[in-house]
Amino acid sequence: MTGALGRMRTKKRGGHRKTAVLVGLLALLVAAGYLVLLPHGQPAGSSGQAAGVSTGTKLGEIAPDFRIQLTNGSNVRLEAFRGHPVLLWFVATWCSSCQVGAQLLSQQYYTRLRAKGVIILTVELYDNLGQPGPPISQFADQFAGGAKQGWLYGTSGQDTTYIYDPNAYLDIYYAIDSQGRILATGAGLPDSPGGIVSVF
Amino acid sequence: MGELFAGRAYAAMFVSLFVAFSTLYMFLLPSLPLGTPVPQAIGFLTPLQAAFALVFGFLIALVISLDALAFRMKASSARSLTVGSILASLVNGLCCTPVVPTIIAMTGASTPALFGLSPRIQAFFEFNYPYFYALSVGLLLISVHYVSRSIFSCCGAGRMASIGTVANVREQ
Repeated sequence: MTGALGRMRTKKRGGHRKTAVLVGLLALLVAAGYLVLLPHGQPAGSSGQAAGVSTGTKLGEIAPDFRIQLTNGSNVRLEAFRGHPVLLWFVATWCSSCQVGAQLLSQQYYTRLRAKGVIILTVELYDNLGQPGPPISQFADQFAGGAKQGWLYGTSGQDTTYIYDPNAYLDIYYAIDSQGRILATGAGLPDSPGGIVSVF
Repeated sequence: MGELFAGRAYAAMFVSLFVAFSTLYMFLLPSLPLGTPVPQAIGFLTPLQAAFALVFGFLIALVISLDALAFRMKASSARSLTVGSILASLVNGLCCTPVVPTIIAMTGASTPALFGLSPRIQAFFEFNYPYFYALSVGLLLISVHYVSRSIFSCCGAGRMASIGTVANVREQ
């Protein structure tokens, strides 16, 4: 009797181990699939582009205007950049992908974007989404070598964060043409820094 | 462990796996927060990530080599713990990729709930990822311990030495 019970327990333990291995492998597959397959950006033309000129954050719409407080203390509105293509990039300064993204942008893509006349606006998500992080000026100095010509840093209000980042992503970008229309958007600028250059 | 490397085939397997996995992790660890493999990310490898990449590479190579030996000797292996440790080392991806907010949004959470919950979870993974790396190392060490113990309890050092000798003879 005791021997039979022991064998049953051993079988059960073996079953648990197999289940754990299967669950682990499944989770690994899901994670790998996510990393490889999930599209992070939405290039223009991949979905139905709005033909009108309504204001909104979808492709083809006019990017909603808002006020940015720049790191030099001055205020500027998004509309002030009409006539120039704009890369509007919202970040949480504590997120490592934003930090790596700033380094990549600074070292490899800034010159190419500027050659196309693109203004880069890096805006801290309101209150860093409630988490402690360095101020945007420190973020700029530490990861992108400070403010450069055509690359501005600033903060904005809570409403702006709600409008442009309704899903509370840590890192979300909008490529805006010189008429203020949204050409591309996505979460995770560093995933496709090369792709963003070709959007403009 | 010395007996493991008595066979040159196992020693070669260990060295190859060590180089392969260390290289993979040196590329993977700085890429994880980005959510996708970005080749340039290796340029932003931190000293902490480099150190963990080497430790992961060493331990995973050791576990797989010991597993191969255990398989040959019909002893049980400890693969489930290895899988667990690999998963624990991947949690850095839960910080900055859209996976957490997407999952929360899929549960039907409203915008205020998303803003309250999602950044908090992502910040937790961002600030605590070294502990998850350490957890991975711990699980790998347990894997090494279990598979070594099962080899010793199954077959003893004498049989292991003989396998090493056979492997050497076959190579010659």
